[in-house]
Order: sequence, then C-alpha cells, then structure tokens
Amino acid sequence: MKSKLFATIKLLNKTERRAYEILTISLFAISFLGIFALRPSVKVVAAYQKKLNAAKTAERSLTEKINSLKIAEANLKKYNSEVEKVKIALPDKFNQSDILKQLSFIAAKNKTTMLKTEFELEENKEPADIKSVKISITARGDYKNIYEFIKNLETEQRYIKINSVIIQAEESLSNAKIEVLIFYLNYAKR
Amino acid sequence: MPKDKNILFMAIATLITTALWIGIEVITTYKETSFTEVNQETLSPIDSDINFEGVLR
Repeated sequence: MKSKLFATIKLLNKTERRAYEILTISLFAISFLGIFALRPSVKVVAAYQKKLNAAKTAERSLTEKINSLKIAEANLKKYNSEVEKVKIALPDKFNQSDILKQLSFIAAKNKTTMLKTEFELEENKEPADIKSVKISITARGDYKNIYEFIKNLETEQRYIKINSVIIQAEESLSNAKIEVLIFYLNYAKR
Repeated sequence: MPKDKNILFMAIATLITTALWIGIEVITTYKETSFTEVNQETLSPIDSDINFEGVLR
C-alpha cells in the first residue's frame, strides 16, 4: 500500500514536471513565432490600416470638393450669360483699334463726326487689377446727335465712363470735347 | 522543480518582452506611415457657395 502511494506521488511529480516543460517550450515557441512571423505581418497590417484611414479621410474631402465644384458649375451655368456681359464690359486686354472702330461705329450711327481721338494710357507704378485708358474725343455734329452719341456711349456693352463733356454750340453744327474712361483687367501683367 | 520554474519565468518574461516589442513597433510603424497617393493641395477645400449673383449685381 505504501509503495503504491509513493509510486503515485512519483508519477504525479513526473507529470507536473512534464507539464512545466511543455508550458515552457510552448511559451518560448509563441515568443519566437511572435518575433519572426507575427511581428512583420502586424507591422504591414498597421501600415495598411493607417493608409486606409488616411484614404478614407481623403475620399471624404474629395467627395465634398466634388460636390462643391458641382454646385459651383451649376451656379456658373446659371449666370453664364451675365458673366459674358461682365467680360464684354471689362475685357482682359486693351485693343486700341477695336475701341476706335467701336467709337467710330457709334458716331456714324448718330451722324456725328469724330474729328480727333486721343488715347492716354494710365501709368501706375503699382500693379493694379483694373487699368484705365483715358480717351479724349473731339466730335462735330448736330446738338441732338451729339447728345445721342454720348447716350449711346453710356449704354454700350463695353463699360465707358464719361468724365467730362464740353459742348460748343453753334447755329447748325456743334463741337464737343468728350473725355471718357475705359477699363480693362490687368491680371496677366502681375 | 525550482530549476523548471526559473525557466518557466524566463519563458513568460520573453513572451511579455516580445509582446511589448511588437506593440511598440506597431505603434511606431502606424505613426511613421504617411499617405502620399493624394497631395494636400488636391485635398484643400473649395468654397461651395460661390455666389455669382452677389458679384454681378
């Protein structure tokens, strides 16, 4: 009976030692597995996770931007004709011959003769968004026609600002010295 | 038996150290990874409420 008990205790000790050994080997094995197999994989997963989060944020920003651009496009279409009018009123370049043609056409339409036209470019040292050109027109014609000519200048699609008008009235024909300002955008030269 | 216990403690310590090491490396990798496929200029927001009406009146 006593020897059987000792044999059992011996067996238990042996089993316990075996369990310790297996546990120790298992723990070391898990550690090695972690270092050589798990670590690189987890690092790659972390990197991709970060990229995924950033890409999701970027996607949200871009979707918002696309929506904003769609709204802007719709607004631009809605006011396209108005924008065209603004572009005609305030073009981005100054063409002297075009202006001269335009003025001559208005004068001819109102039976007025342009005797002299002088252009004076604005000289600013500072760069400006809008530049102006002063035009001095000496016109001759009937008083009413000169009046219509000035009125037509004001109602032109191209914005023309009348600075001053001096009319020298005579019996049949009058002489008028008209000083106007026209404007153009100056973005390209900045 | 005490000798076995010491080795077991060493195994546990190795496991904990490994876990910590992997954890630190993962955090470092996460912080250092940058998303370069889309540049920041592209992501900059645009004014959604472009009011042409206000400009043109």
